[in-house]
Amino acid sequence: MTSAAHSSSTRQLNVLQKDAITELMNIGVGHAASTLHTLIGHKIELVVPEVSLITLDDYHQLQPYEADELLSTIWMGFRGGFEGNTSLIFPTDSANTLITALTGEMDDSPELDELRAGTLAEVGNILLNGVMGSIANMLNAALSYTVPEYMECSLLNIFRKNHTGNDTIMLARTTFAINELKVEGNILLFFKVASFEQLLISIDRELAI
Amino acid sequence: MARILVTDDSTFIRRRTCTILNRTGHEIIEATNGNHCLEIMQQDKPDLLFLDLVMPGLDGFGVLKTLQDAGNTIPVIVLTADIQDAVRDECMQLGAHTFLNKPPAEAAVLAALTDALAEGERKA
Repeated sequence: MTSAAHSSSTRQLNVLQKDAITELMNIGVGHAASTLHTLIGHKIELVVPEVSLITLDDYHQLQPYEADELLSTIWMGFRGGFEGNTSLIFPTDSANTLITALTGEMDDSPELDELRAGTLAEVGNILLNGVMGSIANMLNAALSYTVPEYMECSLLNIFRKNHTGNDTIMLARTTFAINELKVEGNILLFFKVASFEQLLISIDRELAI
Repeated sequence: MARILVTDDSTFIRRRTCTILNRTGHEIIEATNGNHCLEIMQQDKPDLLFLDLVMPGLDGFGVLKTLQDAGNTIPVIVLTADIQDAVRDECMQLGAHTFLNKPPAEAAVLAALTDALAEGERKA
């Protein structure tokens, strides 16, 4: 993924705004990582977040995932001060390892599918709330959330869930890893067009203080 | 021995919370959403409620409002992934006794439990 605003966008983020969004994401993910560490007891490695303005055609930027690779995804919508949705995505192997570490259940029988999916959904709920709650608290915004949904879908479907036509949206993305378990995942944060402008207003207001 | 109702749509969180609470020797009952919670509140008259916020159907805010309107005196410990200050404030205004974030630390759960049960006895 490019680190600058995408050239196909009709909007641009200025340096201060981009820095502020990256730092908001960084703090939010840091909070989420701390929570995940509490849950799982292993060190969480974080990569500096990337922020970009994208269109549907840009989904392939999310390397190393293939467009049609099935990913374990927890999706949660938010609205209020700004609107959009956020996803926690894992390659399937990483998701299974994480669930086993959390529940101790090695059995992958159908009877346990609901528990395993529910466990992953709740992990997503906790982590994504950590990210969004930190951002909302820092910007004095109030957000309400949808019930998190667990699904197995491709990267392309995740992107399609976030786009109308070929609109530009803002994507903040970070990668994390639990090296001891060989688990890796991504947190994606999509802001809708009108909404990220509201986010930028909030950021500009904070920067003016 | 107190009767404690744990309401959360996540089996994972109910298991974790109940594992902590089971060690206290209290009676633990579970509900999986807000409507289920209110039914059990009517039937089993628990002494304390652990309550999630974001759930399918009636959510935790709806439960808190219903209980507040009914003049509930049973202490409610909100246990949520939501870390927003505004949400914490709203819950406290709706009569919550304590606001805890997930995942719950055992010491925090037990401290809140002890404090809330003591307040429940004072109000009874």
